[in-house]
Formats: sequence, structure tokens, C-alpha cells
Amino acid sequence: MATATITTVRSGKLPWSIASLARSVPISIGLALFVIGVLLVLAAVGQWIWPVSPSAQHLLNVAAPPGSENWLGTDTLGRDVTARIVAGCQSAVIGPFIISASGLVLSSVLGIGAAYLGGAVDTITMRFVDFMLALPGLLIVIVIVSLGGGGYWMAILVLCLFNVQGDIRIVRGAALDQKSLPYIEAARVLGIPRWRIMFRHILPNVSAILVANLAIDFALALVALSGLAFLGLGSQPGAPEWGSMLSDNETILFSNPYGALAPAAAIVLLALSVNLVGDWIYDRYAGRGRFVR
Amino acid sequence: MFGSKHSGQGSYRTAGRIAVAVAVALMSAACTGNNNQTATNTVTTLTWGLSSTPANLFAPTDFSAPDSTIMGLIQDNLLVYTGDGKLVPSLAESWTASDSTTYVYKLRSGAKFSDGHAVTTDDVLFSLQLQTDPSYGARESTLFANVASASASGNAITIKLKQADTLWKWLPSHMGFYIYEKSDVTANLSSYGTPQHPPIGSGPYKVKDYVPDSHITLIRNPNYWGTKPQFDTITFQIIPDDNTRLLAMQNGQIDGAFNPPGAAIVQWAIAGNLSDMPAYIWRGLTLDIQQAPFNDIHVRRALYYATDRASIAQVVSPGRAMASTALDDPGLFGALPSASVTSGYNQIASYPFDISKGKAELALSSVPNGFTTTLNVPQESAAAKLIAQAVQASWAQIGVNLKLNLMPGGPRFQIILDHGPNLGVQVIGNLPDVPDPTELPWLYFASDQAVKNGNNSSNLKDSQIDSLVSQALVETDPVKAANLDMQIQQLASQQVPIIPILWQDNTVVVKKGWKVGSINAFSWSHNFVEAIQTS
Amino acid sequence: MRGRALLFYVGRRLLLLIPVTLLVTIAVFLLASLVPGGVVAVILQGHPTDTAVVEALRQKYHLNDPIYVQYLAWLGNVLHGDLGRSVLTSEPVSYAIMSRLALTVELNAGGLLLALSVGVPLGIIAATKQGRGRDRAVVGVAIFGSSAPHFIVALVILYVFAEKLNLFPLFGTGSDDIGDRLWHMALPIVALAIGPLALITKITRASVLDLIERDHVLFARARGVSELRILVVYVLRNALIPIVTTAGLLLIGLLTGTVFVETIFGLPGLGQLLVSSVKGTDIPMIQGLVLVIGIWVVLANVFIDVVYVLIDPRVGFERAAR
Repeated sequence: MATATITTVRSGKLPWSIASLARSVPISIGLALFVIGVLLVLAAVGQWIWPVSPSAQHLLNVAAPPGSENWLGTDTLGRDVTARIVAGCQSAVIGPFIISASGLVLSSVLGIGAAYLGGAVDTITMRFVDFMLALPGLLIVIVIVSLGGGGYWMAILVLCLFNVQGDIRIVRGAALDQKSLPYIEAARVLGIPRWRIMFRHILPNVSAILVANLAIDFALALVALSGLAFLGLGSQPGAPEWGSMLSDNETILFSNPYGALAPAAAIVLLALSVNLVGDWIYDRYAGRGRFVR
Repeated sequence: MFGSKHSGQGSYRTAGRIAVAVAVALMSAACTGNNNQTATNTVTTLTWGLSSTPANLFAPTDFSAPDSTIMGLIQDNLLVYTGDGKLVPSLAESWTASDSTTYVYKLRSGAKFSDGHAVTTDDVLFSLQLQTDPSYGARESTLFANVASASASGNAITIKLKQADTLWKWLPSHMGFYIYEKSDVTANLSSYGTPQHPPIGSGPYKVKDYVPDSHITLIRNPNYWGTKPQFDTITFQIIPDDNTRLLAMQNGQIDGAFNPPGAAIVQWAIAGNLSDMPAYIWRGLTLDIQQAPFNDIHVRRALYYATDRASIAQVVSPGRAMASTALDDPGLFGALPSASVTSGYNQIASYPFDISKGKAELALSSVPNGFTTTLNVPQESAAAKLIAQAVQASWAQIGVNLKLNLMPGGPRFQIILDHGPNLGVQVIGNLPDVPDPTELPWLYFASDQAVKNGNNSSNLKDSQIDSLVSQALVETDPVKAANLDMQIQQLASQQVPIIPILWQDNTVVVKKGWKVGSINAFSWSHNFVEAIQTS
Repeated sequence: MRGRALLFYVGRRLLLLIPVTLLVTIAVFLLASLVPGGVVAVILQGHPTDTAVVEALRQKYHLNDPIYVQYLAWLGNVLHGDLGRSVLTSEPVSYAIMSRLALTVELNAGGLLLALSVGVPLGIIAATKQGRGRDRAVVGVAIFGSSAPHFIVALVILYVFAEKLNLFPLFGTGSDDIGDRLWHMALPIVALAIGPLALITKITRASVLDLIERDHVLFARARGVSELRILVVYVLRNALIPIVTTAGLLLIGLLTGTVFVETIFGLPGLGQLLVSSVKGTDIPMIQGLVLVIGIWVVLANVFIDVVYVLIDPRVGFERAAR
């Protein structure tokens, strides 16, 4: 899923002071963060605070164009599109978050571990990474999810597996950079245990890359999950998932185009916002090396 | 586009590109005009829109009714069921039933396959063998399970059945008994019907091009024994995207199609002429009456009350479906006078949509607080998915939590065929193979079907119903058989083994200015294009 | 010497074909065996049938043999060039794949070419005008392009250009005439290329930016070499490395986008074949496709490594293997 990194990336610490953050954020990033914030809130509480039910069917009012009662019209079973977009925030956020968070954890453990410990650990990890990088992840996910069944959670599990390889390479590169710096040498001389060096010293200094990876993996996972749902895999019928809404409502494109346009716009908006933030973190805090993402 | 020093040239180039595009569009518009018409204004080519590629054009391999519309232009049958509901001779010039288990068909002379070879009794016997011999693995061979033997002498083919059979007489007109050329099939058996070995038939057309996912072109068979068909060339254009197909219809790129999606029916009605095509499709749910809590009749009645059948029918197929109360569409009872059909159906127990009655009924049951159960949904069936979601929502209102489990169609049906315990709720769509009301009640209500590889997923086992079914299956008088079938439906409904949801017809749409004559779901598997009237 | 080393290197990398394809096909085989009812259920597609027919079909497809025997039988056939038959259409799997391969290759090659021919110049422009409006515009568009999923891009393009504006054909691949063919394939190629284009723009920009400030470039500038000459001779040749590597990776990554683009535009390619096979659980076809994809991926990887090694003279064959 993630493309390969070619060379090193300069590592950077994230500034944790809010004031300095606010000063340095350009408007577009601010907007992106706002969008992400709104969607996160909707994902958390949207289903409870939204007055219209996303699953209430009105079988005699299917494919209705937007009106006062249904801001974005209704879908193939007469359900309110707006309510379903709001309800869909949950699956649009949770699934990709799980995938990118697992990528964060796995890549930090394996990437830093491989870089610092070197030797056999490094070789095995990198062989695995090379192998996985070679595979067209989503295609294999398609085959596995459709043969294995299991819907949403199976798709997430498999995507977690196919997500880590690019991250591991990047984190390892950054950790390697750190490893040669004097402060690590000093720590070793002082007798600080290895795990402490790795996770109390190296990890914070590659945190920027980890966060940037998180963002970009999130966007990729969102696209992958919606793509699967679009093909009819990885989601349950009736679940308000943006990707499956897009394919279900294609048939009513001429009666109510918003049924398909709204989920498409939602996917693009979220992916775009997250990508913007992730790229910005990279550019700003991880330095500009000859990197490939 | 991003240049600054050369911005003048940039916009020039862009303008040039737009001009080219416009020119191309204009030319294409001119070329998509109606090039079907010859100088004398008779239409000789037909372009028909399909929503999916036929998997294969050999009926034993691809037993799908929509694909039979193509196969029926290439192959011919001994008999043919017309759009008007008559069984008429075709490759057989006459037939008789010499006794209740012996049928004799006289093969007409002079009929030829498109490769010039004569149609012989050997070919007919072979075509039957394709269904009766299990080694051929024909998909729907159970239809022909009652055949004991077949032989030929001269131009007469004698088929002996194991027992008297009310359904047999229609089967020679069914796609399962298309007449194939024995030498051609045996030479290419494993790949017959693929683009490498398209089928050869004695019907009005033969295959010229077969490009999966693109198109199939048929041209007139010069060796056809019957009347010259009205079209010289038929092209089936494969357009899977529903909206693209609609646009193709609006642009005149296709002349017609079957079954436009219900959600867009309004636009299709504007783009062309729609007509109804009787199909007697039944969709509904079966409930395993041997499994708790479905073994409680109050539960079954409650679920029936909680199913909004009329609205579901409207969503699945607007204008072409209605709420059903039984398996058989009333149209199948053509042998009886309509008054007795109406009064017969009035005696079938049904429970119109009423949530409060559903709650009251459930309160009388063994699970007054509701329960949870799972429904397997075949992922290829849009109708099944709609039904499943609608039922899930309405059953929730009486406290029944229905979980939906999306599965590929083959394996999900295999679960039904394996007939393990706890079949629970199943969503079923089926249509009779022959225009006779006996088949569906037999398949879903007889206890000999409540076994492995049988259809009776409700596990209804009633000796009275079984006796009526056995009588109906061997009854050759259509009126007596119809009366028996009506009785079976009435009796079965008392036990609520199924929740019938809808009966559905097919729709055929043709371009404005054309019409479609009589056509139904049994006649469309034989030369359907002759029903199209272009003027 | 270098020629022979190259040959050895390629040979060694091609050996990778064996473990990859074995692993991938075994995995799919095992997965397929989990499908309830297996191949027979798919064949019967919901038609009730009697035990005799079921047994006959089970014999025909060797379903009564233990699974490793089935796999070895399949493998043996593959080595003879027989990939089995589709259970849905009875077509030989190898024929089905070969007849669709050309279209998918066309689509991918066209998409990659378009992405490279537009993305590289765009990236260079953005890099040379870094920080200014043009750069920001390019970067903005690039981020947008790489955020939109392939299936949304394809849908939007289809509906806007083919359906609303009627500029391009709605369906079909066009006749053999090359003009008609291009006209039919134009929209799908564009739809496929947009994401990769954005990516290549970003990478080109990043790598050119990085090089423009390197020492040897500064030196050249100090010596009075023209900006253009600097760009071409000093910067581009080195910047090519990540670009070419990305292009190679795209050879694999584009396969995923192809699936969506072919499905939406109704093109009879490998992507659509994969979707219809998984939806119809056409197990022999899925196995054949996975095998072909595995081979494609390994070959693409070898290609990337070889080009990488050829372009960057500082890298030896051993280092490239990492």
C-alpha cells in the first residue's frame, strides 16, 4: 500500500507547545484539521445527537431528491442520506484508525528494533518487508476477504497486515540516523539498557515521522476500505458505510445524485484533509530528504 | 496550463484541444444515428443491451434464464411454448402421449443445423442424455429425473417416464431440452459453449462473434427450417453499468433490454416503451419449523405480520411486483375459471402488515421478549439484499433482531442444500420451470424435498400435503391438478411455513415507436425477437 | 564483466519467482478450500441436484482427494501450461487470462506513460519555482490527486465526460483502428493515471529540490554554467533514480487501480476478471489470476532493481538486493 522509501529521512521532534503550533500552521492545514476534528466528533457522538435515524426506511419514498425533510434526499430504501453520511463517519474513522495505529505500533517496535539491534533481527525484518512490499496489497486483500468472508473486521485485519511494510522501512531509516548520533553513543557508554535507549531516547526523536506515517496510512486505509466496500466486500448490507453507499446509490444516480455524490465527497474530503496534515508534518518536522512516499 | 512565459500559447493550445473534442463529439453524434434502417425502412439489425456476459452458451453448463434468451435464438426445441400460452410443435412436427408414461415425438424431416448437418433422432436422444446422465454434470438435471428411458425408431422418439407426470409435457420446450448436435458437442465437450467453441444449433440464428464482456453477434442461420426471421443480425451489447445502459438506450445505441433496474424505471419509461412480461417469480422467506423459536406458530405468524410485503414489492420492482400470499402466482392457474381462482386464494391464510398485531402475536409465543437470529444474504442478488434490509428494519419493531450475513450465492445456497439442522430463516427467489402450478408447492412443501439437495428449507412434513402432492404430480388432467395445487397451498398456509413476500414479473423495454407482442418467461427462451414489432 | 554480473544478478532475482508464486498460490488454495461446498457449490449455483451428479462433479474436480494432492495436481498442470478451466464459463483459465492481458497492459502502460510525461515536467516546474504560486498550485493539485480514490476519480470522469458532456464513448474498447481505440481508452487511462501522476509530481519535485542545492550544483552555478544545463545534466540524471524507482513500483501499484477503472468503464481486462471471479467464487480462475499477478509482481520488482542499478553507478549489485 505505501510505496517504498529510498533514502534517509531526517528525524525531528514534534513541538508540543500549542502556542508554537498555532503560530506555525498555515490556513489550509488549519482547515484540514478543522474538518478532521468535525468528522471525529461526528464519529464519536453523531449517531446519538443527529435527529434523523440513518436506518429508518421509508419504502414508499425511495430515491427522493433533496427536500426540507431530507437535506440530501433518500437512498434506495428511503433512508435519509445525510443521516447515513453522519453515521458513516464512525466506520470511516474507526477502521482506518485501527489500521494506521497498528502500523504505528508495529513499525515503531520493528523499525527501531531492526535499526538498533541490527544483525539477525534486522535481516529477518527487512526480508519480510521486502517481500511484502513486492505484493499488490489490495488485490490480495480482495481475494482474501471475498473467499474468507468476515466482512468489515476481516478486511481491517488483513489491511493491518499489509500496511506496515512501508512504515517499517521509513522508521528504520530514521532510527538508523539516530543511532549514529553522539547522544546514543553516550547513553550506551553510560550502561543504559538497550530497550530504554530504543524507546526512551530514539522513539521520541522519530515521533514526527510516526505521526506523519499515521496520517498518510489513515488516508490510504480509508481509500482501501471504501474501495472494498464499493466492490461489495468488507461491509454488511445496510451498514452506513461511505464506500458501499456509493455503489448502492449508483443505481439511483438519475433520481437522486446526492446519494452517490455525498459519500464520494465525504471520502475525498477526509482523505484529502488527512493527507494535507500528514504531508505538512513530514515537510515541516521530518526534514526534506530525498524521500519517497 | 502552468506556464507563464508561454501562457499565450498555452491557452491557444487548450482552445485547439477543445475544438478537436467538439468536432469529435459532433462526428460521433452523427455516426450514432440510426444506421439500422435500409432504404425501404425495414429494420434488419437489432442491438440489445445486456447487463452481464452470459457465462457460457451451453445450457447444461449455464442454466440461467436470462441467458436462455440468447441460447433460444441459436438452439431449437422439439416443442415451443408461445407467448400466447400454447404448446406448439417445432422440431417435432407432432407428438402424442400413448399412455400416461409414454410420449412419442415425430421429428420433422429437413431440419438442419447451421453447419449443414441434418437434425437426427440421435441428436435428440443425445440432448436428453446430457440431462439424464450424471457424468455430464448438468446443472438442472433434477428436472429430468423422471425419465426412465428414451429410444428412437425411424423419425419417432419414444420417451418413457418412471411414473405419470403432470410436469413432463412442458419439458421438451424447456431450455434443458435444447437440441444440440451430438457430434459437435462430444468433440468439444469440456469447452462447449465458450467463445472457442460456440454452440451450433438448428434455430433461426448462429453465432458470429462471442467476445465476453464486450458483445455477442448473431447472424441469420441460412439452414433454418422455419420462417425467415425478421432480423438479419442481432448484436447483444454487454453494458454492466446500469446508468450507462440507460444512456445507451437514450442515445439510440441499443434498441432494447430486459429488466431495467427498478430504481430508474421512470427514466427508462421516458427513453423507450416498457411492457410487462409475465414471469411468476416468487420471493419470500422460509422458516425452519423444526427449530426453536420458529417451531412456535405464534412466532411465525408474528413475523408474517411484521413483514411489509406490499412496500417491499414496490421497492424491489416498482409497478411490476405485488405482495404475494402463496408460492404460485395466480396467473399459473389458467386451467381454472378466474372466479374459482379468486375464491381459492381467499382461503389461503395470510397476515397483512400490522406491527401491533405482530407484537400481540409474539406476546402469545414462547419468546414474548423477542429473539435474535441470522439471515444469510446472497451478495449477487440485489433483490435479496433489499428484502433482507427491509425485513431487518420491520422485524426490529416487534423485538426480533435479524442479523444479516452477506455471502457469495453458491456457498450460501449450498448451506440450504446440505440441509443441516437449524436452517432458520432463508431468503428465497424462484420461478417455476414450466407453466404449471404443481412445481413450486412440491419443491417447498413436500417432505421428500426436506432432505439433502432438496428445496424444502421449512422442513414442512405433513402427510396430507404429501398425499396431495403425489396425486398432483401424476395427474395429467390440468384442471384436476390445478385444484389439487390450490388445496395444497391452502393447507400449507395454515401452518405458516413460509412468509411469501412478492410475485414479480419481468419487464422488456424497446425503443420508442416499437412494440412487443405477447411474450412471457417461458417463451423468451425461444426466439424472443420475433415478438418485437418494429412498426 | 559488468554484463555477466548483470546476468547473474537478474538470474538470482528471478529465482525469487519460485518461493513467491508457491507461497501465494498455496495461500489462495488453502483459502479456497474454506469456501463452503467448494467448487461444486459454485458450479451448481443454487440448483438443487441429485447426489449422483454431485458425486460425478466431485470426482471430476478431485474434491475427494486430500488437499495437498489437489494442490500438487494443480501445480503439475500449471507446469504443463494448463491452468485449469473456469467453473463458471468452462473457458480455459489461461485463455481467459491471455485474451484480457493485452487490454490491462495497454491500460497500465498508457497510465504510467501519461503519469510520467505530465508528472515529471510538472514536478520540475514546481521545484524550480519553489515557494511561488505555481509551486503551491502544483503541490495542491498533487495532494488532491493522490487523495481521491481511483474508483471515485473513474466515476467522476465517466459521468462528466462521457455521460454529461458526451465527448467520449460510454462503453467498449473500440475497434482495431488505433484512433478509435485511443478514443475509447482515453478516459480510462486518464482515470488510472491521475493518482500516479500526483505521486510522481511530488517525488520529482522533492528529489529535484533536494539536488538543486547540492554542492556540485552550486559549484557548477559558480562556474557560470547555464541554469538549463544545470537542470538537465546535473540534476535530472540523479533525480531520475527515485522517479524511476517509483515508476517501477507503480507497475505493481497500478494493478489495484486497474481493478476499479476496468470495473467502472466496463473494460474486459484482468482487473474485471478478478472482480467477477471473486464475486462468483470461480476458484480455478482466482488461482490462475493470483499466479499471474504474483509473476507480474516479481518481474516488476526485478525490473526495478535492474534499472536502479543501471542508473546509479554508485550502487553495486549486492547493495541493490537490499
